[in-house]
Amino acid sequence: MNASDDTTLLQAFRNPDTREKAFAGIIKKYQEKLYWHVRRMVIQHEDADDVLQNVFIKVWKGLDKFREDSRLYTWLYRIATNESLSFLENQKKKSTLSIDEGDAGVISKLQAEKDFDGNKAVWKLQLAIQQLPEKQRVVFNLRYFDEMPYEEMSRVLDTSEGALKASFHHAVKKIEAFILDH
Amino acid sequence: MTQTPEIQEELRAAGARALLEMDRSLCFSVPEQYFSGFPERVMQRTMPESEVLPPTMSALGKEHPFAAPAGYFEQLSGHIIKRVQQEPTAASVVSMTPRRKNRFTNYILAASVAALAALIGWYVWQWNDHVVTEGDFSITGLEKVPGDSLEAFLLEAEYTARIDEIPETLFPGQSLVLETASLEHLLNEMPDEDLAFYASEIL
Repeated sequence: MNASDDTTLLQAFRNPDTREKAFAGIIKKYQEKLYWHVRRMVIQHEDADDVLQNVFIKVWKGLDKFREDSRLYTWLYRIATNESLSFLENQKKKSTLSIDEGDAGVISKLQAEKDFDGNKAVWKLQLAIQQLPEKQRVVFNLRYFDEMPYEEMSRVLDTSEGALKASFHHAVKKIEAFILDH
Repeated sequence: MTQTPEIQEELRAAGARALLEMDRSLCFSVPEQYFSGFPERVMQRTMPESEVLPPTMSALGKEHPFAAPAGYFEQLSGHIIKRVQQEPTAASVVSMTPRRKNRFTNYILAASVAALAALIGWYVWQWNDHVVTEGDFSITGLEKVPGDSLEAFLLEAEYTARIDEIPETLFPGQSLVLETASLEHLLNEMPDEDLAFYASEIL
């Protein structure tokens, strides 16, 4: 992600004449990365779409207060992560299921996806990821799929780099074990 | 994709492009499938132990099975701009900096303190009002003080507030010269010890 492009976009956003155009530019620049980050957490496209739109609405309303003491990309990931976790939390609250069954609900969403094939490695990996606790799932996804450096992940998740490395390591072990067992 | 871009970058930076894109026309050959597992092997030697992925996972790669509807990303910014225009109210935003106190918190605290002070003041006022009415006095003998003497005392003490209403039960049979000043108010403002001293002096 080019930080100088972000600076230009943020300057344009602060100008009322170019505000919307700049915001559309920010959306276009980050929508795919954030979409896949959210989608891997909430699984269904409709849910991912709702969460992503809410993320950008919050960005629109908070961007004036964004201080640029962190990268825009990091800030966006932080909002998207929190929105995804809040969504999952609300889903659990709405559900009459227990917490364990709530996680099973995410798995059943995965199984309801078009083209699902539990025998295929890519789906098996996703099933394995869904066995992880939510925050460990975030850490694994950010590192494995988004290849986010621990330093940035530390800012996104407000967690020490050491804890994130340990979390990723444990996640990998669990996923490996799941794949070997299934 | 079976290896991380970091590994690919490392190979490119080291000038090892041939290892990534080995051409069979070269005089040397490599075993079949050699390159498919090469990045994983390199990764295992270059990455810290905690970063090394087990072979099962390395083989899975980073492909995921999800798909977004056709044209979704082309239309998304337009949908969001429309929603933004329809929602003028502020929403909570996740800050990257440590949580700071909301700027309205001080106003809310000040209002709460003011409300509490007003409530205490009201109770004190009620209490004082009760003291000087209906003959239930905490300052013994005050009800026996002639009205004009009390008036003179209050004026001497430079209490200048208005008297709008003078309870007749407070000074039965007494005519008060202070028709425009609120004796009740003046009494409320006068410290109890002053009134007690005055009452003891005059009686």
